[in-house]
Amino acid sequence: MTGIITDIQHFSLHDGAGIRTTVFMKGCNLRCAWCHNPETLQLKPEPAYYPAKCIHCGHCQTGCPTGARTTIGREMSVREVLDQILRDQDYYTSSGGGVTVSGGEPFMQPAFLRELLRACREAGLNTNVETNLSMPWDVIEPCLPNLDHIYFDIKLFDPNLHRQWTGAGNETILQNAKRIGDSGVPFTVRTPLIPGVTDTEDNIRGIASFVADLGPSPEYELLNYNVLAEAKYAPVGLTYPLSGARPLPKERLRALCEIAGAAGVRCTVRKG
Amino acid sequence: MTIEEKRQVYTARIRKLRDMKIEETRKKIAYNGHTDEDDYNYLCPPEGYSWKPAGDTPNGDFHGYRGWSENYAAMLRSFPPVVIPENSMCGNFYRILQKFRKLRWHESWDLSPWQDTITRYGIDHGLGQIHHFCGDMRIGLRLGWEGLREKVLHYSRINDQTEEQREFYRAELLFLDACMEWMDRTIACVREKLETETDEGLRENLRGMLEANEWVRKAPPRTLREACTFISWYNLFGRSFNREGAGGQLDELLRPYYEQDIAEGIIDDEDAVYYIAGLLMSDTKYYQLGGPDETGRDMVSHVSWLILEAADRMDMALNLTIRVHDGLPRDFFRRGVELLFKHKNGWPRFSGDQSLVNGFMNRGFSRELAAKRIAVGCNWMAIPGLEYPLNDSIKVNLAKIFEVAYNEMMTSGERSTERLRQLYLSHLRIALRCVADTMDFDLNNNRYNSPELFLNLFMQGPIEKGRDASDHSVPYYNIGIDGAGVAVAGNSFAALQQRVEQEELLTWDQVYAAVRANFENEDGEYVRAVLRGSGRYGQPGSLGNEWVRKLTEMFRDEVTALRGKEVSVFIPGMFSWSKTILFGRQVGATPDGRKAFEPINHGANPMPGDVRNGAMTDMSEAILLAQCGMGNTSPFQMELDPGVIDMEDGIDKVMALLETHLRRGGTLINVNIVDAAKIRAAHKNPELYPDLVVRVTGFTAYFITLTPEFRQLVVDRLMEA
Repeated sequence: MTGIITDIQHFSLHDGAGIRTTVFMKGCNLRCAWCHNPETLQLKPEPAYYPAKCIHCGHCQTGCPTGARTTIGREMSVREVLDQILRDQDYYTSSGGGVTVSGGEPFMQPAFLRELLRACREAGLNTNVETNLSMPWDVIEPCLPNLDHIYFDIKLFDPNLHRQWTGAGNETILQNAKRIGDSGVPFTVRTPLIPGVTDTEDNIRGIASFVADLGPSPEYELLNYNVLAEAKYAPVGLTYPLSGARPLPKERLRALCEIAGAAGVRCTVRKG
Repeated sequence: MTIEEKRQVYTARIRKLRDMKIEETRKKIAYNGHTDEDDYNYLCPPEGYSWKPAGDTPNGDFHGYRGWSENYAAMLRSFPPVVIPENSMCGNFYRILQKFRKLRWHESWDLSPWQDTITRYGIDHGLGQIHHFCGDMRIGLRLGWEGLREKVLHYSRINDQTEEQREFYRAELLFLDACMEWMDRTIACVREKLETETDEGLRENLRGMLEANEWVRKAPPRTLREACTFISWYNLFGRSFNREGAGGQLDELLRPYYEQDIAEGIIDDEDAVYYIAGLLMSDTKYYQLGGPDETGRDMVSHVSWLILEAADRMDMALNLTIRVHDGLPRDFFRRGVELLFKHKNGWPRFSGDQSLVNGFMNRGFSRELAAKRIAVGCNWMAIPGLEYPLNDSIKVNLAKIFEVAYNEMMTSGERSTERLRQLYLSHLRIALRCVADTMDFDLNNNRYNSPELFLNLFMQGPIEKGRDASDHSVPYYNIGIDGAGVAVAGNSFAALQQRVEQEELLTWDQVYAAVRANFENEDGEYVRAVLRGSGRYGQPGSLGNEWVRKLTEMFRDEVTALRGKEVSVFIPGMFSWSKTILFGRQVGATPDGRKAFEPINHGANPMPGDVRNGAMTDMSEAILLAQCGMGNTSPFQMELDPGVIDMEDGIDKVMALLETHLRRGGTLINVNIVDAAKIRAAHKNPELYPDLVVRVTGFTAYFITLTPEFRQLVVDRLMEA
């Protein structure tokens, strides 16, 4: 069983409890205008060019020595990915950490994801997944027995706005969210705060009210806008549509968090 | 006064002393210029101060028992006494006698038997090395200064056979008399201050200061304040003499006095914190906190907590090491990590008990002895009072060894990494033999050059035998030898194996031509990029990691097999200290893609930028490969983002990171919490950040005191985090 992997990042501190390794899978079914990982969108390895690394040596065809021309994504077996993950097993044990599968959208490669999670569980690892939750439930459900925590996004509560900004409606996401709530698997809902798009009080209030009904005092995270995404677009031949946007100030974050809290969720703010 | 009022008063005094220290740092830079070393909390000399030592050789250096003792006595007499009414301790100094020396060794020594080898291999050799061992303060706490003097007198009558013995004891007595005369003048100054001070709170402090000093001058300390006063003077004497900086197990040293004072109702915890803060301000000495005693019981006590509390209120440069083991109370460990993030001053550091003890036992010593070997130096451990290791003094530049071997291979004979390894081994052996030979010479001669008049008083043997600590009088001579630049050497081997031998992307001649041209020849940049893109030390499963492992094992085996006429135990470690720039300047371009004369790697760390995404787990895995496993350290210089603790379980994550590295075989972790914006701003305008402390290597320093070149190196390293 193989999958297309964008990257495996060790010592991840922001993708769940404890010290973790995050497996970034390739391919996503949404096209969010602000996508933070544009290099993961295509479900196949793709070329990238980083001009700042180029020394103009003329060896492009025989293998770029500096990584200026490179390929993002590679096919890896479950065993290969697991071996990399297990390297840090001592750290997972001491910190209560584990593995987080992220993307892209991990459920775009459902069979591989299922096998990887099963292998991780058999190895005694704590497993998390970060998903947009927009894939069909019959793809998601088989993975639940091997998941310790699910992080999923509700980016926009209004289905039309969701379609406008991500390329798809949010009906499946909301339906799946209710099923996750009923499944008993611990979960955290996240909203990326995109200036002028998702950071309206109506949007946050709407999402938080929905989330509040998913379970007793559910966790809800607001992820502040992160300017670092922009630099990732040009190397894969894309143009960043939100150039110039800035993170929200602390006061605004606090106000949105209070709105969410008032709706009945445990709200925290994090860097995006 | 209520306990809360007392807390406010003491805290205000400590803050005032801190502000004075910051101002003093500014003045010291104006006076001394920038330095790349520890801050010892001493003072800038007063205007017009001009004392100079009397030399006894043409270059003006002073030597031997007489030269050091007479000059020290004269220097101390030149120091105006220092009493600050807000401080719980008194005394400070202006100059370090050792720093007046131009040469570390004796001018008359003939270095020619070793000079070529020293230069060829970039050896920081054993000749003239001093003070990198640890006195047992308990000897002094039991006897007091006057008691130490009586001890010297007692043995001077017994060991009266040779003129050298008589000269030894004369020097020790002159040393002690000078110290006590300095105390007397300072005590007189306390009295004067008491007469003029009008603030009743400060008068009370001065009265306590006077009583403690008058008592400690004549008898062993009885109370916590007296014990702190004794140790404070210990620090001032040792540091001002020859820069001696080893501390001890501070919590255990102070505990009996604290417990007795509390039982008798003499002090409360606020008093204790105030006294300890005064002691910590006397010097940036290296103290260990916690860790198992000889029975395995952890030594964390309420005093350990009070030491952290004092350090917290001071928020200054300090060198505290918490010894991590299974029995360390979690809350104490946690508090240490919290303070690390709170002040971002690089303290405390964390040492790994299990690896250090097992390592020392691997070298043939008992568990009981290994447990006594505590963190008392920049990267190093020693057994107080029993061991003369000169740790962190003798270093072999492994990048330079590689360069010599590589040049030899490329100019004659077969070209292969296996032959290169053999050549490297043969040159390493020559370098280590030179170290052993210089140590043989040193242990027979250094007493005529730089005797240990201060530390002799606190070791088992020197006073009893009438022989300097450098002269076969101490129970254990376990000489430490550090390898430096192992990442440069390992990556160079790896790049050649991968790019030339395995992939055939480059030829031997192509690489050599580029290296010789500092990668500035026609295809030099391309060759460099190919070499740099090979599997580097710091990347799991890479050839770089594999070569560092091999080179470390080789270094370990060769150092432990080394024998001298005078020394039978050498102990390997991997540490560059702050000599990354200096050692780098000795080495031309190398096949790892490093350009000529650029710095080598820091300690056992990979080269900056070589760890993917800066993953600390990958860095840990690499540094574990560079452990020599013989009781000395290969420290992990760890840089962490301050935002880590913004997470709910941030402290827990850091604790897990630290203890997992140590449990897996790590020996020491020096941590910097890097506020990137502040460091960048301070690099531009250091004078605006006089209180910014960074952990340069095993020691902390005020950023403002570093040379611009060294600041850049620190910035480069820290920014990677």
